[in-house]
Parts: sequence; C-alpha cells; structure tokens
Amino acid sequence: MFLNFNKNCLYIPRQVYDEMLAHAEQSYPHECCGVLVGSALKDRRVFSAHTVTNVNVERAKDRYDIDPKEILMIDRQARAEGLDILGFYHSHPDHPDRPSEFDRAMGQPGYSYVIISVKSGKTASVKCWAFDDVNDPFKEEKLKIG
Amino acid sequence: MAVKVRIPTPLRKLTNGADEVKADGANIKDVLNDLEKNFPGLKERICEPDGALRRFVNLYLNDEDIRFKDNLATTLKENDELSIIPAIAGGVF
Repeated sequence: MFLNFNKNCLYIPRQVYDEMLAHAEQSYPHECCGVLVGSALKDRRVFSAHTVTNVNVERAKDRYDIDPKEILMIDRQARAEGLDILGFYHSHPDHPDRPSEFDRAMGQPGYSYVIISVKSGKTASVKCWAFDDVNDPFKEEKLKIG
Repeated sequence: MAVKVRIPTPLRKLTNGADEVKADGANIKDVLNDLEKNFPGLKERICEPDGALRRFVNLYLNDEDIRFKDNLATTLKENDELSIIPAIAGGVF
C-alpha cells in the first residue's frame, strides 16, 4: 500500500470529530489520547477515532503515552478493513492547540497529530499538525470537518 | 525463516511506501540485518548504534513485546509477524 505523503488536509466526519471533542472534555483536567484510522490512498480521510488509555498516569495532566499493544491491535483491525492509522489526537488542558517541544521531540513523521485545546472543561480550539521528515518542524495541516 | 514485517507510516519512505515486507532470519537481530540490506537506513531507525533496540521503538512478535521475550535474540518461526510500533507520546510540557 502506498501512502499519500502530501499532507495538505485531513478530512474528519462531523460525528467522529464530535466524539473526539467529547473525549477531550470528559478527560479534563487530564490529557486524552486516541488513534485516527482511515484511508490515505486518495485524500487523507479519517473514518474512525479510537479512544485509548493514557498510560502516563503520574503526569496525565500534561503528558500522554499510548500503550503500543493498543496501537498494534488497532493497526491490525484497520489493516483487516483495508485501512490504516493516519495519526493520533490528544488534548492540551488549559493550554493552546500548538504542539509543545515534547510533542515535537516524540512526534513521528508522516502521521497527523490533532491537538484539542480544552479550557475549563470546554473545547477552545482544535488544530492539526504534521511533518514529513525527521528533522522538519511541525506544520499546520488543514482540518476539514463534515 | 521468512517472516512478515509490518512497517509503520514513519518508516515507509525507507520501504518505497510498502506497509509490509518480507525478511529472513533465524532471530530478530538477523531479520533487522536482512531488512537493512534491502532497505538501507531502516535499521538505524530501530536500533541504537550499538545494535540495541531504541528506547522509543517497540517490536512485537505476533502479539508479544520482544522485551518480554529474548529481545533481539528471540528466535523466529516461518510466517511469524514482526510489527514495528513507534512510541506515541507527547503533551503540554
């Protein structure tokens, strides 16, 4: 399977997007995280968002860490459906929707990273970020909802 | 042994876009060396210069983390599946 590495835009269905925001708000004041599954054969289209456990319990207010076994299982299911992991989402409680230095340090090229800024328990703003090569900075990727 | 290796998106530029490749080896270390022959640059994204598995890379043999088996010395059976799973983490600070 060949991926579309031209990351101009990430399409997310409204219902999936609303589920992601609800997850972020329910998790407040902790960070939430999830896995975005879809297809990148033509456009980059998310079909589903899988909520996963933030295993960084000690620092759940300002860090997230996804259990690789959960990623393995989601990847396996996605592959069986002819889909792929396109990226991940997480929340920034009471912080902006920009990637932090730690987000960049841990970031992986080719994935889309959706960041949901949650202020006082409510979604404030959402942006998507990605980079192509290991040494590139994050660049904003357009989000199209609907 | 021929095994299937699942390639995650961040490494697919090194496998010409392939999400799954075949590799040969009696154990995981051999498989990584075989991968490097066919896809130069792949091994250094998985292993430290001394050959140890990178801290932020996970390798699963079928359903098991190889760190809970014999790590890179884990022996393989025909048609085993090796999945490369990069650590996914981040956060505000």
